[in-house]
Amino acid sequence: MSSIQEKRKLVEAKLQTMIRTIVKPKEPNGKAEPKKEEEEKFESDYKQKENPEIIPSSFGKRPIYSKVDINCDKWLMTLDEESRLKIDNPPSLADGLSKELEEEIRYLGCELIQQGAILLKLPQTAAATGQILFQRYYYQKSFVRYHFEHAVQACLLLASKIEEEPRRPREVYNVFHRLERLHRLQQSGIEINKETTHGMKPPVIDVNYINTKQHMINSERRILATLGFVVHVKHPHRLIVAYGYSLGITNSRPDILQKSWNYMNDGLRTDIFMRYKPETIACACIFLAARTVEDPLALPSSPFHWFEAFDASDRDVEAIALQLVNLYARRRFPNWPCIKAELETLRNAKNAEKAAEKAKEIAEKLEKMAPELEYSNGIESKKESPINEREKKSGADRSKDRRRKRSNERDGKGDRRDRDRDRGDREDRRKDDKRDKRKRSRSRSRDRKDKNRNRDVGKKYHRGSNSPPRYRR
Amino acid sequence: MLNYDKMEKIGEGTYGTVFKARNKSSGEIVALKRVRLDDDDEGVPSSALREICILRELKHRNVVRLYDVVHSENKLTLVFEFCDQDLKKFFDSLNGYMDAMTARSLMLQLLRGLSFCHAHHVLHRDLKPQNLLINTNGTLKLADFGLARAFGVPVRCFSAEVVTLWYRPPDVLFGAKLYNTSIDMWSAGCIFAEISNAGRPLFPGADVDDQLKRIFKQLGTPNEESWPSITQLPDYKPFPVVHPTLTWSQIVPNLNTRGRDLLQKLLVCNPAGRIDADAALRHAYFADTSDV
Repeated sequence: MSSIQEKRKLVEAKLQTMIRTIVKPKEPNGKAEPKKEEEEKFESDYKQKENPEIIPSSFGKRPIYSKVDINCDKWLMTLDEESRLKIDNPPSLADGLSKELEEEIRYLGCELIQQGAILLKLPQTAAATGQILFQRYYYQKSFVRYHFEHAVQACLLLASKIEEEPRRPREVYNVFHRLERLHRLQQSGIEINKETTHGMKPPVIDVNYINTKQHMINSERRILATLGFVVHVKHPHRLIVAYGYSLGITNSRPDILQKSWNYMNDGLRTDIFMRYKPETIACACIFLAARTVEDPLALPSSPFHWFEAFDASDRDVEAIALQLVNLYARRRFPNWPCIKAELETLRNAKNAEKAAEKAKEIAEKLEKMAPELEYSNGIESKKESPINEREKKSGADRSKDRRRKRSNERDGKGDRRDRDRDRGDREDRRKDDKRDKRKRSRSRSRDRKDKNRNRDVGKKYHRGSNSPPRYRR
Repeated sequence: MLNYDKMEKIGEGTYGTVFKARNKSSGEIVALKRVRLDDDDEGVPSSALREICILRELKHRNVVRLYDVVHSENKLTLVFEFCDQDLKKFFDSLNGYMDAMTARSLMLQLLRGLSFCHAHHVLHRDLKPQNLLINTNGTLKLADFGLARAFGVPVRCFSAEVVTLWYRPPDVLFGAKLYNTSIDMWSAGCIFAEISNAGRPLFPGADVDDQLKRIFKQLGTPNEESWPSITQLPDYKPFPVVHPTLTWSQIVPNLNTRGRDLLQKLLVCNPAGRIDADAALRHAYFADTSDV
């Protein structure tokens, strides 16, 4: 019942705003005409009473332009207080996502970008750029609000452009589609090998493709705007090679370099690139690799640690190394369908919340408008218990009837709707009477009588009300 | 867009239309470069992406300033500082005569802008008179960074399809994929000669072969001795050995000896032997110039 009432209010409020916006442009003409005294009086009354808090319909007034701040520098998130808060509390948490799940989605997104880059035959730098962009983006935006699937594809597309190996959205879509199917197979316990993937064909061009592509392109634009076009990423890849060279291990211990390189690529899935400079990360990767390779190598540590020569502090290096080691303690690969379902429920909850908020807003608006428009206390009656509702109804409904009639009279729907509603109100009663035709007809005639009475009452109120005549049309 | 009054169309850039416009609130004149983002293409064009990413970091007197980027439903608008004309139009207004002082001032500013870009690890890759803007007060600014790219220290393979043919260095004409700042220095040399000749292009080649022939006719055909490993370039093919017939004073009669010396140092076939922007700025040609 309450939901019906809410809906009704929503419609009514919409109609009100529509009437207002339609009427407004006519004003200059109306003024030119000689007006009746009454009307003029109303005009001034109306202007005074026009509630400044009521904003006219926002339809068509959505801001089409967004300003991109090209001077912002957001890449290291430990530079200012606001970013530090954000990195500890990513925006998704505010939408009800748990910290664990948030990390899970981040991991999955990065994994998809990495695999996608391999399938797209992109260089590793592009994969790294894509992952860092993805991470940065979701420290500014929420996973609940913006689908990570779209962002993953957009990041791949963007990274390919940035690293001068452009790929077409179509190719990105194909790869993403394949990854999705592979993932599904993997989840259902099927081993991925040549045989299972043999029959996989690229998806056909259909509505789904067109929609996804549009999402991809929109998402790309949103990422660029969010990051303020700061998309160039300095990668530690080169630094690792350079540092290795200066440590004299390039030729003697290529295994250490390879391992540190791997650490770096895996580290893309964590937030270390938001927290530390690439130089520090490069040091940490070499530091960790030198200890974990099969034949550990002691790098110079006296009079001070070797990495201090590259401006990295031992605290930072150890923190990164610890985070990297923890990464390998992960027990399983994130479950995509599970994540999807969870996000979907959150999204639905959020949408419902929004709708409820909007309904509430409109109800408040109506409440404000109500005393101006009629004498009855229609809105209050809504809160009464359902037992009283029928008795109380007449008052509330009458006012509503009138309002609706005012807006509906021009298309002649008012009468029919009133009847429908009256019928609805008496539905319970009619159920009993269903078989008795005579009774039924009687009740109908009573309905009609009721309605006539309602109408008369409405007329009476109309005459007495100070509601604007223009509303009547 | 709501903040700007569009005034007139200035021209077509590499990927969009350029308009002159006035800022409604401040009255400032700006140039709007509009990039269309059509639904059925590849999203934000990579040239626009490059230009925004790079220009937002480059702030210098001799590099065009990017004030703002306005994102809207189906287009991207770049708000640039406005310049009155480009070097090409400037040439047209000269009637074939270029003042030696102006020429030096323009060259100095070009090199300053380049030196700044190179110091910030940015290759312009498309230097030509159309991409050099000039203000009424004679300030020259590098513009159109649609082909520019940031480069790391060890240069990777880049695309060879860069730089308008007339300003393309011989190594890139031979298909070199590893190039660095020297690519811009060659273009600067070509432009230098063009400035001093009041707009007559130095090497107006018709195609790659013709371009190389014109270059070698003037500079002499390079060989393994003057340019080691030239034969290893992807598109290398031997050219008949020619010896320069025209002297530099015939080609650039308006330049003094020092100017000719600088030009010769810029136009060196072997990229390794080409002078860099900082060294060029220290060249004796600019020595007696009070700040321009």
